[in-house]
Amino acid sequence: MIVRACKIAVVSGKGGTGKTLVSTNLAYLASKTHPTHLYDLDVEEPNDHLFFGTENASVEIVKQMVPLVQDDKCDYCGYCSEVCEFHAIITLKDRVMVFPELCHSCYACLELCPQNAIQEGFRDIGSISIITNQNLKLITGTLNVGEMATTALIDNAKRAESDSGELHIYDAPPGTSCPLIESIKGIDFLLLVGEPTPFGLHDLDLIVQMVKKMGIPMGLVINKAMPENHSLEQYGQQNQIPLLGNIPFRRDIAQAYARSELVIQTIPGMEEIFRQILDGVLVRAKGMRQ
Amino acid sequence: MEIVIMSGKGGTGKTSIAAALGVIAGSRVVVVDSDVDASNLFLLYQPQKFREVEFYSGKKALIDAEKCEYCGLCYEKCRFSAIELIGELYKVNDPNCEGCSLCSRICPYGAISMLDNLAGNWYISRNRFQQWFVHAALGIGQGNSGKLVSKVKEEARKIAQEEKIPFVLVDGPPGVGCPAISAISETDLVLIVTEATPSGLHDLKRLVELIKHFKVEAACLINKADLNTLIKEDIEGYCSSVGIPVIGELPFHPVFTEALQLNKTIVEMDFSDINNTIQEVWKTITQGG
Repeated sequence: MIVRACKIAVVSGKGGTGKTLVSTNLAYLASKTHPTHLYDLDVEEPNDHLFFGTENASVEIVKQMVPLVQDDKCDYCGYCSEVCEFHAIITLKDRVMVFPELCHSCYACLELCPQNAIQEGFRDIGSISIITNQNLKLITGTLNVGEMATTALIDNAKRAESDSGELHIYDAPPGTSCPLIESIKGIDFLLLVGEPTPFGLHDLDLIVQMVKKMGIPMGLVINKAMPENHSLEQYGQQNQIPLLGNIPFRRDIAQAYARSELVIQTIPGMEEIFRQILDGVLVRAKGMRQ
Repeated sequence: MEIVIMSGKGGTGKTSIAAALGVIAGSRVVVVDSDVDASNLFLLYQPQKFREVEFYSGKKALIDAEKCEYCGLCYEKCRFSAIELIGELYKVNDPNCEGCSLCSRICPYGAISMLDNLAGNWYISRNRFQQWFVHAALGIGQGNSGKLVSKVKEEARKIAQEEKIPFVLVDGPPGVGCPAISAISETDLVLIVTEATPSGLHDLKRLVELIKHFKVEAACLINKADLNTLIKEDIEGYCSSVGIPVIGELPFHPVFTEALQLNKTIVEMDFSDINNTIQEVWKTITQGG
């Protein structure tokens, strides 16, 4: 029997709040009891691999469709240029120019060409690498520098190895725009990583207000927690989001991160904190058997 | 002269440093927050809005249920899974729709129209330091953030020109994708704020690749420099190898977080060492500007 994996996204809105810290440690801990996949979906700046190494990675190139105009069939009528909403194809008197970086691969030109002169061409937009570490698979999407097809690469990365593993953890990109939406499509649980600053709170709230409407269950981890600051606890209570753990604001944690260490392995007390977070996630995530 | 502050990795201190540089520059600068999908600078600047403009970008399909004959052609041809079958009705899932108009053009019953998409707002404000401040708010889940980044930069340049203000200082977006490309295109200098962690260095390299691709001048500031001195040296070595000067370093210090909690810029916290470094950075990047 194939059991669909439980999918959890780790998000924050603001960058640098600790998404990668939480995702990597949580995935490593979870893999001790469940076959786990960690997906690094911050494809513009993926970092999870820094904590697991890249030895024996299998790498697959991600391609995207771009129009390929067949000169022998094209009569330069210019209809493809007219229907392209992204100005990615321009017709001159005796040739057609394609600007691949502007193309959204919508196929409008190909579908609508009166002469059937456009074929599928492909170009590289990035890669997906997979490394296996015992019960943990790390799947990293990397967008080629200079490319704008962030969401297409995220979509491809999520499809990799999607039929195996019990727990899929998505390390999501920062922000609140289309790459984030692409990352949280189809998830069972949203793990919010907040830092108790006005910046952290503001960006977190943007996501919470959107996700509330989508009806996805949420939980909150406070990173860089400070004993005298209760802004995020209060925020969680007001929005009925359960608090699953507190990671203190300490130089030794920042330094361990700065040495590419998993804090659960090197800092006393951290495994307990992450165990509590993991248990909280597993209990609440839909369809997950403990 | 336009200076854009970028980092690749989020959370390296871009906004804290942009805010501080803006305060130091005083009346000689128009400040821009171009991190339009998670903007934070306004929290420190407490702007009063002078002008608010709706930002339309792209289109979204809309199916007229009266005209639809349920043939399913749109559903079949859409490459973005933006047409959903809900019960018996075909509906457009707005966040997925890229506005390519293919469905609208092929619908045999003319049942699909394309509507202009309200993607967000942009604002011209005066901040609490009596500076012009151009910022924006992209609607949640919207695409096209690169176009809004270009828009706020363009508005700031206009103000600078009209009022003869010599500098435009832009707090940039993270990453190296569409908004980052818009932020660095046609700029005079990118000030990179990195941090002494492996992630900081890794993301710095990708950002530098992008900067070199666009042939823009750059300088680098290392934040949290004392977190890992070996990585700090690696960053210095890397920058030197690609011809990017390292023009300052700042420590990992709780005062950065304390300042944020008080909604203050770091230079208002009276830490003379940090203030001096930021003063020096401003002097260095504006020499000859």
